[in-house]
Amino acid sequence: MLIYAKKGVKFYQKWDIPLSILPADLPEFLKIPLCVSVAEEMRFTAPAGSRVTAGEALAVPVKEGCPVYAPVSGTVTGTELCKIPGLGQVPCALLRPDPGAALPESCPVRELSEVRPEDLIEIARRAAIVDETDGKRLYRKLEEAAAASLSAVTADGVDDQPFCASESAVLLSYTKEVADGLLLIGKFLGTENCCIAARKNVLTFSVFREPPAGMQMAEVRGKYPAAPAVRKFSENRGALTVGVQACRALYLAAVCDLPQLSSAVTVWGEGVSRPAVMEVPFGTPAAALLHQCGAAEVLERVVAGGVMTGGSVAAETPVSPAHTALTALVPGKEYPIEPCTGCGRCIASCPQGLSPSHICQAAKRGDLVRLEWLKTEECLQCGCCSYICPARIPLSGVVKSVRKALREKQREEQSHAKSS
Amino acid sequence: MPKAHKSRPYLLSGETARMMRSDLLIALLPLILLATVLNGFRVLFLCAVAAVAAWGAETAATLLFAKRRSLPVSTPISTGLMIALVCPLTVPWWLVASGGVFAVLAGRILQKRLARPLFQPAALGWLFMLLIAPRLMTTYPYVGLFNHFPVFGSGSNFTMVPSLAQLLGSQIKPPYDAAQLIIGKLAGGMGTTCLLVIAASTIYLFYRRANAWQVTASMAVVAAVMAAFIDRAHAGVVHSIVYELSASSFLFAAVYLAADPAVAPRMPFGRVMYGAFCGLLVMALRFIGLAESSVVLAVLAVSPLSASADRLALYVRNDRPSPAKHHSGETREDQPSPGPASVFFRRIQMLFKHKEPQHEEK
Repeated sequence: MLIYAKKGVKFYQKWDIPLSILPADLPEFLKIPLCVSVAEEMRFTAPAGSRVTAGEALAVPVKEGCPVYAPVSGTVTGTELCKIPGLGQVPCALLRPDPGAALPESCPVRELSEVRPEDLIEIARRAAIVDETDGKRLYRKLEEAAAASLSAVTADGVDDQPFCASESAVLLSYTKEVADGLLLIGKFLGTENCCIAARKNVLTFSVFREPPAGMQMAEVRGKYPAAPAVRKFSENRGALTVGVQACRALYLAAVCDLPQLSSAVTVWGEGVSRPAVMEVPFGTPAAALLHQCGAAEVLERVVAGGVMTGGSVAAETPVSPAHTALTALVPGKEYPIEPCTGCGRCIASCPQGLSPSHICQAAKRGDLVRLEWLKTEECLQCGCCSYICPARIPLSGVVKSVRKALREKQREEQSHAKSS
Repeated sequence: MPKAHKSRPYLLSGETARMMRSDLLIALLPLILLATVLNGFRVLFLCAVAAVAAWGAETAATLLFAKRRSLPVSTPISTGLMIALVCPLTVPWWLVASGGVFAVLAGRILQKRLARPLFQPAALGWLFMLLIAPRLMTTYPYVGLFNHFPVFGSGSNFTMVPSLAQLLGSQIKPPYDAAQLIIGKLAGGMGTTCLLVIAASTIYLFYRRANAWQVTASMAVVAAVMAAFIDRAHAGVVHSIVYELSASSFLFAAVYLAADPAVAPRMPFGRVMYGAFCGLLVMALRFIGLAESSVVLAVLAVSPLSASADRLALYVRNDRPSPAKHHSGETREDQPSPGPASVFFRRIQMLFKHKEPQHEEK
């Protein structure tokens, strides 16, 4: 099977990242976020000074949600507010790891066949698994998939962000675990139609040559972003899409009784001398990872979540489950904005077929009606238009502002209608 | 090679507007080189005069009128070179110089305030030269292979011959063989007759994505189809197509003037429609009797329609007509007072007013 991302921008990926997943060194303190989504209300169960073991709950949900676990054994020293991209200020538990502490080993406690499909939602909830492709809780996705009677499942192993290899590395290093996790979801949905979508490259070549038993491989080709093409492929098959890391975490939760305690993160950028894919316990500050990868003394910026769509974070920000990449940038050149050259590259590269240059013109005039007509709401915020623009016009930034303003306008209109 | 950037996305492609302008200049160089090899150093002299005149006019205008004085380099030089290349070898130096100055003043300085220029500057300069010296611009010397024209001479020793466009207009079969057509050794603009070099430059510009190739392609296809059906030279379908595409600098204009991204539409479908209409207009003008001026008139007539072509393409894509400026039936008084969204947009406008240099070269 072939998934082709026709529109977007082409990156010539440099494979200077080692293929194996390295364990991250434990920092002096882990800052474990006590909630993963804004809606979750948590109760802290490990008071300051208490000792916890790896996989022990630090906080439990008050109503609905997932517990938060200590990734390694250590002592809780208190809580602190940390800014997490997408969540804002979040309370984080400060955990001082024990000397020589490490992530727990994965030892199977039951056979895969012993796992009952009807228990899978509860297993995913208890293990606090987050799907790295969209940052959603896996148990919620499973509930929705069951409600929608989806009849197939796709594991998304595509490293969509340029210079990111986390998904490929997980697929290569834990092929069987990913496949077994996927089979479990397939069993839950009552289907054998399981497929792994990945780019065929030096990392994943062996997986394509010898696919896991019961799996179909879908080769993803073409440009960045491939995510819309993968999503469309899944929709056409009536399939649920789950990230490969979430599939592996589900396998570990179902067979080894291990909650999700870590994620694979690619540390890359001009600011690090030894780029690597690392298995990072949740709560590890970005600075510790960067230090391990030989970060430069002067860093312009640390970007969590990929260079195209990620957000700038402080060096002390803990790695959250949805972030599969960390990029260290050194002080760069500031490019002047020039007038639009009319080259049309932004239009040619937009995966949604929008016209960013016309949106930008309408935004300058403040023409909200035309902005709506130009389907600004359909923008994916992939950043292709800004990347490709030779005049360095911050098109994706303008489109983002326009979308915000259009939502404001809708609210204004609703309130105006109510008052009149 | 992608470059690191300070805001999202944190990577930018290595391509810049300056590189696009340089690409155009690079694509013009083989034409100048071949014309010099075939016709002598007068080509270089005329190109230098036109480029210096255009650059001087732009520099003077920038120093006099612009608030931010960043001196332009590549764009006026490209404009000057294009103007020189469409001229016959016998034109006096003052004509190309005045063409260069007019192109910059009318085509670049006067249109600077517009969001999108209405006319291609070099095309304006070409039309200006055709208007002020029609005889000089439409008479071509017969220069044999490597029989060079004197740099400063009058060229009285050379026989004047009708151009390809004039021969086709008179329904006479042109006396050129395939080799002459390919290397461009025929009566016409000094740098616009060589199909081989123009094709190579087109491929370079396409590879570098420095021009609107859809315009060139659709313009050439429409003209070729029409030439295939209406064989004015009575020389067969293939010859008719080659003659029509070589006459009156058609291919040169299709690559460098009509496909100029500053003037051409931005939507791919709009570009195809625009190029097709331009090709259609060129052939229509030829059939009604205009020979040398058909291409430049068509390019200038079509370029103001570029925004409409975009609107048509957006209409086709969005499947509904473009909205009016204000809601129908809603007067300005009926509209609600500016809310946070409107204030937000004003801020965006202010941001652009501060950040976008008003007088930098395009």
